[in-house]
Amino acid sequence: MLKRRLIPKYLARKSTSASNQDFEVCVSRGYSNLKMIGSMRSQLKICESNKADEILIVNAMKTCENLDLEFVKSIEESIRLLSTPIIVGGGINSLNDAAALVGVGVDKVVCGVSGLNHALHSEIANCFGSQALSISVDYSLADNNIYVGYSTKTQHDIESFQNLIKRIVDSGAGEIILNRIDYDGTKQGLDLETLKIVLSCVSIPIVASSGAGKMEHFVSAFETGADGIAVGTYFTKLDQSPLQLRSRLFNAGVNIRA
Amino acid sequence: MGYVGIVDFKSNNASSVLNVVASLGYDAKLVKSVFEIENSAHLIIPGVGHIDSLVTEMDQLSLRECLTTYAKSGKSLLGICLGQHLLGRRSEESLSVKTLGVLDFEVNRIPANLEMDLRVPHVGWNSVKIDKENTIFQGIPDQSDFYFSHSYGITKKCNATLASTEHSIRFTSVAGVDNVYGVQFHPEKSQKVGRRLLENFCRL
Repeated sequence: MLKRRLIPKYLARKSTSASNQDFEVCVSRGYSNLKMIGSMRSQLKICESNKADEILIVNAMKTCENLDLEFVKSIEESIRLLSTPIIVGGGINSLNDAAALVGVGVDKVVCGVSGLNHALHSEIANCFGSQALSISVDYSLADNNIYVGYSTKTQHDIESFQNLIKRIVDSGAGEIILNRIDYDGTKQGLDLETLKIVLSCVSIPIVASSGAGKMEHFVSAFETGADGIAVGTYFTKLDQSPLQLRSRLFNAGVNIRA
Repeated sequence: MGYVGIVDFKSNNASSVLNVVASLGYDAKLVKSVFEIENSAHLIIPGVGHIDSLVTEMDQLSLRECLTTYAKSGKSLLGICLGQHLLGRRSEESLSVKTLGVLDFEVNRIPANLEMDLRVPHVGWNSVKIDKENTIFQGIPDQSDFYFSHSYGITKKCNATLASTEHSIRFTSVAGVDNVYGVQFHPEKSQKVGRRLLENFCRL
């Protein structure tokens, strides 16, 4: 049986220290207030030794502009000695950008949905296969509406949101990362209601992201049907070992690599 | 001892395979010319993407004949994921393209089963049941988890099956006849067991 996935997620930025210009990884709250965890290279190694099922890294430096070549170089160096699947996003605006990342050993690229660039998504999926394309649906909720995007937000009711999700699948995405922006770093639990809405309308895997704060949150999101859970703050701020979480989830009946 | 050649198609993850094989202490080299392929002691065809792009690129580089010859040479050949599909007779992903046909199987779409929460693409870690002992599995426990990422696979009965995996249906995750192997999962991304499988292959 396919195992459910635990996916450490980080925002990456260029180190602020003068002596070291390498990239470092951070966790965040509401995708701002970045808190540095460590150098990208060492942190990814730690993830592998903790049996991370995949690792998600988003470049926080230039999210909506161009792919940052220094970032690609840093990813290349960081993953050279790893044999864990890597998902990378931030600044992917062309097929060449996606090719640059796949070329250095990235397994999946993540594109945001804000640009709604279905043509680009199809191009990437046709070239590298759907399984190499994840679409991050970054959203928040207010007044019974779903707002998709960070700075430029589009307002949706449930029906139009489901239509958006279906369009993402039609454009060739192999996975959706369902990312509730205002839950990021809060540890208040994952947004299961929106997860259900998305699960019910498509058949590709869904990764739930943002809000995991205790063991029960993981169990309920997996039981709801998430294929994976992306985890930032939980693994880094709390005194929680990923290996321990795995065995606890396994003991709670979750089908996971223990 | 010669080098392990890793076929460097553009739409593909050759660098990950190269890094892992090199870290195991083998002389690994990205190859894309007939000369380099012929001279590889072992050959790996990695692959992510669409069978259409892979076959088109193979034909543009005029590698069809030399890959087929290599498979028949008795030297060890390993196809990974899409590289496995390339070894078969045909793939439902694109029925118009001609694959190599060096192993006797066809590739079809993996069905989803939403009642069981089994979604497609089949992405993540899944257990590999060894159906037929083979040196490629040496030191790898039965039912070990490997990393998969695909929508198509060998879903029909196949005589070359060495191991199988279940996702909605049971499909062939490792196929092999004599010196030619194809694996559906990504050993280069499967941590410890994956490294072991690549090491076993390089030792053949």
